Amino acid sequence: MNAPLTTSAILDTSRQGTPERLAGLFDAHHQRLFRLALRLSPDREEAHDLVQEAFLRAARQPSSVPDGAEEAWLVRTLVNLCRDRYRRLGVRSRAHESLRREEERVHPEAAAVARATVRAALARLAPRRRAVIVLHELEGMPAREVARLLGIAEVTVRWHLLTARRELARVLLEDRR
Amino acid sequence: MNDERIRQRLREGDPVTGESGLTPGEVRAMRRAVLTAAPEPRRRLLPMLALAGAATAAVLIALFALRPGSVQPPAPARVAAVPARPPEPQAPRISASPVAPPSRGENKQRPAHRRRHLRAAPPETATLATLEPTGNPPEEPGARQIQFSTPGGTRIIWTLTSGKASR
Repeated sequence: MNAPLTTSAILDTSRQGTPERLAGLFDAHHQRLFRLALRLSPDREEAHDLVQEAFLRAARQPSSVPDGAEEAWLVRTLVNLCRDRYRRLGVRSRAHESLRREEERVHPEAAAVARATVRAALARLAPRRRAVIVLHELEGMPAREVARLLGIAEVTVRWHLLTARRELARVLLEDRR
Repeated sequence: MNDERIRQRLREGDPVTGESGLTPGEVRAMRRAVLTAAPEPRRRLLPMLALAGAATAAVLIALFALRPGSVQPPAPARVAAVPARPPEPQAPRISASPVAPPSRGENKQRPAHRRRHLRAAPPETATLATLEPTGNPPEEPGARQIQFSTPGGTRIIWTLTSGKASR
């Protein structure tokens, strides 16, 4: 499910012109970024917007995308976009709770309920912490790789993991009651 | 709830489960939007190149126009009518006129209107020939004397009498 993070195609495209490089970046990473955005955002539409906005930032400032670390830059940009939206939504928990209730009503199957529960639980986390727990627990990345992608220290990643697990345990236990 | 149980719950409710990802239509639309937003380097470079070319041409023209060697002094007139000036004591001077016979004996049989060649010191300037006035104006009215000196030092004197040029 997880695509390789670095590809030789990206290194090759980094030596080409801006449109060719951008097209190579998009072709190599759009599906993986979309999966990550689905896990970080409350719904599919927002995930779509997040991915497009991340690539648009790369298109508007191609010089800011470092050669050889394009995917890390894209992931960091995606997480930062999530943080921006998170800050803008002052009533995020209530909004996500209403979203979960709506999804449970429309899709009453157990899998859908489980998805809505997890999505709501993840939405309670701060964006960076959410990204850390998603990359580590759902995408199976080691903490060192998560630290490299997000541009933070490995010890910070471990601290986010610890805190996120506590918060998720509390939220999931509350949901069981 | 331990870590393993949390991980299991997260994977059971992974939001990606059941999602097919972006559809081909969504991918095409997003790709087009992204590539359209990319700046085109050629269009950005074109005005800069044109400006640089114009500036270079202007600098070259200015350098060519203001180069010190390009401003040449006007060439001296090779033949000019010069008014009479005081005689120079060192320069050999020959006054040949039809009214004044030559002073030296070897020139007694020569007609007065013949051209005479005298070796003189080379002039300072490298002009092809200069015209100098004679120190002794012709005594006969209407007679006129013209002296040339070549860069090699040869002096040529023409005497013009009564409106007719004679060599």
